[in-house]
Amino acid sequence: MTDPFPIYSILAGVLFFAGLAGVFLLRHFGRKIIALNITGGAVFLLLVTYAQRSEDGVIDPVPHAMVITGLVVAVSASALALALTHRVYQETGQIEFPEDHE
Amino acid sequence: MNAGMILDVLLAGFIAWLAFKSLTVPDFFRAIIFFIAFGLGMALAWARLVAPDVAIAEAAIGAGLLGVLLIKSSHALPEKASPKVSLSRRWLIGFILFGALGGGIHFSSLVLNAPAAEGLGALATKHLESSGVEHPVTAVLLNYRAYDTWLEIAVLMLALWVILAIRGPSAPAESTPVTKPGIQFRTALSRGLVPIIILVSGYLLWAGKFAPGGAFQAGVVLAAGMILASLGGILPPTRWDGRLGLILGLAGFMAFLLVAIFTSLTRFTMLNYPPTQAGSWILFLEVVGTLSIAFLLFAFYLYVVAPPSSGQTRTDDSATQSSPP
Amino acid sequence: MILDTLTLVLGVAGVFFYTAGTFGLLRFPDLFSRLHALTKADNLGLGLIAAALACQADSLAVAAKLGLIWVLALVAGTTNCYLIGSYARRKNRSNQEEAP
Repeated sequence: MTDPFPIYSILAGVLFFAGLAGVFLLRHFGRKIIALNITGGAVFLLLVTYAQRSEDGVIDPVPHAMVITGLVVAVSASALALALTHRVYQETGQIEFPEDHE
Repeated sequence: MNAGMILDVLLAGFIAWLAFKSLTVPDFFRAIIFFIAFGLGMALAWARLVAPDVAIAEAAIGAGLLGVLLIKSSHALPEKASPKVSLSRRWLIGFILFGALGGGIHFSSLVLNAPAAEGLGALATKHLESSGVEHPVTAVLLNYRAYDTWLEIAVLMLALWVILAIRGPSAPAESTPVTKPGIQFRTALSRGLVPIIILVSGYLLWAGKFAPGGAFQAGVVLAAGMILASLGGILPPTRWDGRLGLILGLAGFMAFLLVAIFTSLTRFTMLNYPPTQAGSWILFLEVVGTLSIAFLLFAFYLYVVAPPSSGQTRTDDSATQSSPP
Repeated sequence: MILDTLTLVLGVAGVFFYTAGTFGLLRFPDLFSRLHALTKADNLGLGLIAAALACQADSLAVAAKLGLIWVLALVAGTTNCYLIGSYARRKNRSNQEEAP
């Protein structure tokens, strides 16, 4: 089995910047949350790819634990973000950042 | 160029396509579905990178639970149609593509030149016998870095507290069993699946000692079982944000706190279990942690958005909206 | 040796059924026919692949777990099919009631 490291690190880079572009460019708040999660997934991918690639061949379990922790924290943050978005929509009726073509 | 590499290339391309579609497809609900598929694709990537714990956690939490939260709030966050949809959509797609490709290439050129380093794997396996478990990731989560796990449960609790604190006035107080017609199927499904889910959760908790598994995976599966039970209307009407919720939510944190206090007093280092009894301490923390995590994630599902107010039946399933009874 | 050829045959058959299901998803005109193709073909494909993997399992317990996974996936697939189908039927009915 050849080293999968290059393929997945390139994927991590692509996903990170796609998600980042989405966070800045998407107007709907819910979509920004999705884009943020894609960015987080890219960071996790890079961590686990580094864990798989060590000199002595033993797979490093510490980044695995960090990624599991990070997943749960990301879900908590997303849940909080969704609740906040919903409350903002209830109070102000605003669900998107306004377009500024003017 | 062997079969593994072909699989990796295809999988990476598929994951990138799913992420791109979830960012650019016009309908918010469809974007959520693409995101759930992206999460499952990532779970396959974890499996390819020999990270089975992370694969289970991603499939359960990242794709499953987060997908459920997003779907539940999708009706409450409607997307207003933009007047100039075609031009801005093309700019958006262009920017995302440019950002992805350009950034990815630049980033990868930095990363690919990084040398392979000696990881912590050898160190983790060296102390495995005295850690109380036989699986390295569980040892890291609950022994070497137990402090991180403790604070992670605290993060879950804090998020739930803030969600409950900012609730609007039309928020539900309890999970009511629904009485719509057509609920019999969901009830039958819940009655059949929830016992199996409880068993699987217990098995995952126990298997964390020697195989991929552990408290988080078991907690998420149990939370999924509770969500299924509430959708099927087989949960008794209870106030989940009252005293019961307080006890269940705080239990995990308090268990870690008690163990930390005890070990600081007797062994002068926080969360430093005595090596011969480490297994039992870890099991105790995992059991209480699983119950806490399951309840906290279930409460996320219940309270993340308020159900639609007047004119609709109060139900946990917001995807099928029908006329009031 | 027998087990290996059995794995190969069952795996190829499973992939064939999955491909057939995907063709049905892409080519059928209607939601209900697409649901039909997906539920039948994909679940059978999953069963064949699970059987192929079970031939390679170390012990009977692992093979039984694979079978249990197949049964659970079957239940999930059937549930999804029913829920999507009933929602679509209700929406069709309400659309027909609205149209004068």
